[in-house]
Amino acid sequence: MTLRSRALLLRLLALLGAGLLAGPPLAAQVARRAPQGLTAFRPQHGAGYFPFARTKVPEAWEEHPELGPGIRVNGALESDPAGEDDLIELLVARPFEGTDLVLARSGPALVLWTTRTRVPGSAVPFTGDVTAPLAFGGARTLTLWVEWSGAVPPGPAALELRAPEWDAALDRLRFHAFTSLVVALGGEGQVPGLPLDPNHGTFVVATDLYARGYDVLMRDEDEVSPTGTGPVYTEVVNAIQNRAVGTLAIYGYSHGGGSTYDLCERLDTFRGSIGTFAIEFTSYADGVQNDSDTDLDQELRKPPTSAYHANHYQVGSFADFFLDGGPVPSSFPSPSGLNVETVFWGVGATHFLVDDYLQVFDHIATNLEARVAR
Amino acid sequence: MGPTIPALLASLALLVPQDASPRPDPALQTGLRRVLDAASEAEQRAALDSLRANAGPAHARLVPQVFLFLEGSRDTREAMLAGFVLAELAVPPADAVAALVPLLESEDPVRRAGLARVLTEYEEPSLDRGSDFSLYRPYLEAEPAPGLVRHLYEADPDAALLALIRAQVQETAELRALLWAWHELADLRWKLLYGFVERGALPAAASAHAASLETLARHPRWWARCAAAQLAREEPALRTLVPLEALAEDVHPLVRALARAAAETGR
Repeated sequence: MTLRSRALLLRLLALLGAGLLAGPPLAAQVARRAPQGLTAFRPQHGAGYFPFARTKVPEAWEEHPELGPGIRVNGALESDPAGEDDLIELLVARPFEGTDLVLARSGPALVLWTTRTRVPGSAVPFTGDVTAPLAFGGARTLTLWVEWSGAVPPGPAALELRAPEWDAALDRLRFHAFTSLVVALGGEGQVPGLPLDPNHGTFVVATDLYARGYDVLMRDEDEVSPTGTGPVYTEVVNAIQNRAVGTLAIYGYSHGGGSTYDLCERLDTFRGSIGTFAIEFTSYADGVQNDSDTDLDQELRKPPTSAYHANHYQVGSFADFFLDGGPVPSSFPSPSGLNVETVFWGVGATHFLVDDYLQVFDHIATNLEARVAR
Repeated sequence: MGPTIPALLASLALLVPQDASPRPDPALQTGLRRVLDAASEAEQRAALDSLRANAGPAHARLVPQVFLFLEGSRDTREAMLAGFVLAELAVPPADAVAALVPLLESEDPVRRAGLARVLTEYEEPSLDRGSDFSLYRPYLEAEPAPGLVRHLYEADPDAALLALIRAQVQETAELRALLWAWHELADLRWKLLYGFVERGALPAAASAHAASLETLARHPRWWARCAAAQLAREEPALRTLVPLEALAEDVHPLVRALARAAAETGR
């Protein structure tokens, strides 16, 4: 096990242990007091966080330019296929009684709301980029929602909790606007859900990337048709056209590998009508073409225009119905990917195990993170 | 030249009572699980041989059971068994289609979506060429079943209309009028796909296609009216060019359903 694999596993175990991936119900988490004043959460999906758990940004990363809180640019023309879900949940804790607290922002890109769907009249007013004293109404915490409003992000934006009476800054968050989108597609019969199934390797990596500050679409590969149409394509195009996203990372296991190809092919075919984007990272884990639920053909085609394609495969046997991926030209590890059965940790691999090796997690996460800015 | 083998199979299938809700066959379901649980290749071969022996004429007994197994699968291994069995038993595409087409009449949208994800194997969908629905031709030459027509329009509306025109229409004037309408709709979809018509510019940008939409929407053949309703469903901005209110009260239930779905979309 490499250091990175060990770190990935430990991170996931820590998250599971902290109850952040499959933890207590929402109400119990809301009640937890933010130790330093401000707590931001990872991005929403639809009316909540599913298929991710509600995941807070660790205190140590709150000002980190990449690992810190990420936020989608909320474009004016967005289709928002899952409803308004681009605002970031912000928990403000009142560390002291009897002292007014205000929030100061670095600029007008950050807009605060008291409602997650921007109900008219629920915007928090700023005067000179500082709010009026926050109204806790006797509670110890206050939930607000942060929106990145505007066009292409010029850089990070900050939000600071201040006690004007003492001229003190109590806590600070540094938001990065997402310019990339990660798409993770599982194998046939794998549906993203909670609690996270440790045998769904694609989703284990996706959950890790989400916790590390990426915007991740974790989806059933059936949401990509053989010609690439479907809800995933719609969301990706919406992100490119309305949310300033210009970089894509797409990866999948088994039929999810085939769907990775199908999605990239469609994006490339209709590039002229979509806008400017680059597919910086793709990956197959034992990729199988996905022309149908019964397709067994190896996916041996490199996704069109992928700048870096990772490929892991094994050789099928009766135990896995002779299912396998195979060498893909110009993929990594060079020159055509890795037959995991040729290395000690993959001896005896089957189609149903390839996506679950820590070494495969490691290769995907490390190389994606090296190439795809958040 | 006599009828083709697929045509004969389709005729046979049309004579058999249509069952959109097959029940699990315990013997075949057990047989499928034996393939799944085989401890050796020899055991797996034997389980496959047993399935082959009990597959029924033209695999008509086996194929729906394979689909039911896939539908109830709980993990990747179970889900991938369906393709393995169909491949190992060399089930011809025409057999698979003949067994699955009747199931498209199901009222259950989840089941229909599952069927669509299997049938694409035989439709060869392509970004450049569209789908190939030639395997369905025998089913479209008689009065086409609404479930099949719904499936075709959902899978590839341009290929669907063309397949129906070719299978159903021989009279020259009608054929030419429908082919022109098909061409106009396909052209509009192409322009939308490649960005030569912006969705924000609809419906003004599509006004040149209004006559063809009208032709289809008021055509005596119900499956032609479906084409107009389907386009309005895909592109809510075009609802003003399609007489949706009339189509929503159409005599044919599928036209009504598509028109009502179109009226709901984008509201």
